[in-house]
Amino acid sequence: MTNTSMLRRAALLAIAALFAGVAPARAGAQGFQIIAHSSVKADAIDKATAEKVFLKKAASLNGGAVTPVDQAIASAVREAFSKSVLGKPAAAVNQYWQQQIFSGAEVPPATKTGDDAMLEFVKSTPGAVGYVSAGASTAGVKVLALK
Amino acid sequence: MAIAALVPTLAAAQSDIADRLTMHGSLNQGYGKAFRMPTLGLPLNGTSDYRTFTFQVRYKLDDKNQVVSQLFNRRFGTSPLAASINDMTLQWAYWQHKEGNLAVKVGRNPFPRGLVNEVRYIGSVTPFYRPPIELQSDAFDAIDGVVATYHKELPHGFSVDQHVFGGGSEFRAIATTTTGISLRIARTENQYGYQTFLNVPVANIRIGAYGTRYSFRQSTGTGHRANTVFSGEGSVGRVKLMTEHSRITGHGPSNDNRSGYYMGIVRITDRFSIADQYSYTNRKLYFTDTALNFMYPELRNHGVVGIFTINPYAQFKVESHWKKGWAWDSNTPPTVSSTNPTLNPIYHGSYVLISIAASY
Repeated sequence: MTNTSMLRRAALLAIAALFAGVAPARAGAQGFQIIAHSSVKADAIDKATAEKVFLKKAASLNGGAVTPVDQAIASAVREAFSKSVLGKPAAAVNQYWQQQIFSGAEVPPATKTGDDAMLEFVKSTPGAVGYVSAGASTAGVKVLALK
Repeated sequence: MAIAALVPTLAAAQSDIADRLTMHGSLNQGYGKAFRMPTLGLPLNGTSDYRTFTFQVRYKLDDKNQVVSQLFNRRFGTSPLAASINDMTLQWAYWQHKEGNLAVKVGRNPFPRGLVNEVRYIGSVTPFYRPPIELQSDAFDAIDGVVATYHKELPHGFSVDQHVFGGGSEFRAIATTTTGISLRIARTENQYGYQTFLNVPVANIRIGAYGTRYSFRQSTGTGHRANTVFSGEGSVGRVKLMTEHSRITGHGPSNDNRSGYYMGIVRITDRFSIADQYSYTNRKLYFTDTALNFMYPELRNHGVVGIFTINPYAQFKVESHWKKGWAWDSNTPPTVSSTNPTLNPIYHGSYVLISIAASY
């Protein structure tokens, strides 16, 4: 590598890093509630465990099998959940799933469009864990406190 | 009455199939043009015959067993390699069995080799149209055989992903000789090896080591090779860095090929990112089938790309690359003077590539 090309690359990365520094990621307010089927053996969940469940790195919670469910990728509640629990925007999580799908490793959780569809699915599916908007009804399901 | 009884049964059957069957696909469509020298299928007058498309079908037999197949369409412009690529192939066809943290795949599998080998054709995952071909070559994109993968959580947030594999794979390359360009199509057989990743709970750091041995069969004979790849990636905030370095050694003919890349990706906004990449090949190849008995076909490639996210499913990319070396789609023959072979002067060239990457 010549000195000139090294300098050019270093300058480009430095400029990019500068942009990154002046444009920090906005922290999203918690606009969601994590819900679970009544069979799920938990009343609370910490962020690290929730991340493992929703990225399918863990298939059980307190010894009971769980099935994560996501909301539609363009929804506000998915964005809020992704940023708060998974630590990255929904688009970045989608990127993670594309990598998983096309490396043959795993497929993403099933998707439900809207709070009503999510509530209905979680209520009727043993082991299901999902999330709905902050003000949505949670009748018939458990609400897991996020620790 | 009978129809009324049948409706819930059909609905249940449809629901069951919907739960078991998943379909995914990806499209990477480009338009590219090379300057000074044609390269990577891009001619001097441009081409839009540049595409990769995959269609994946996965059927879940039960919680532990799945069958997966992936169809693959690839158009590679005017590359000499295009003659060896079918318009549509079955890229993957495997049965997968999971038992706790262990997964075993049997059939034609994704090949665990480095950070992005399995997704090399998926433009929505890779920053550029493709990962650096200097490291990937046109080889090792799938393995016919067995891949076993084990995930283990370690103390303090560390974890390990361990792959072991055995089988054979395909290899395509353009060889520049004193008489012109020739297409080398080979198979690796009796191949075995490992890919290990250590996941560090700081800055999303992942460190990888890959090792394999195989026999190498082509029309000119059979050889033996060993390959190692060391990989590392990490990200902090909006910045991600990746690097990989490979060495292939062996004989038949004797060969010592070092290649690798450095890449930086910065997310400027939620919708716009840029990436910068430098890749290299230092290859020492001893020919046995030409008058030239040794050669050092080195190559340097510097690329930058702007990535605009259209929506969660699609990206628009504009990339530019500057290359120097002897690896081009047209012949840059070495000169043979008496018994003293000499190489022609190094060639410089560049190319631009505009592409849409979509996946679902």
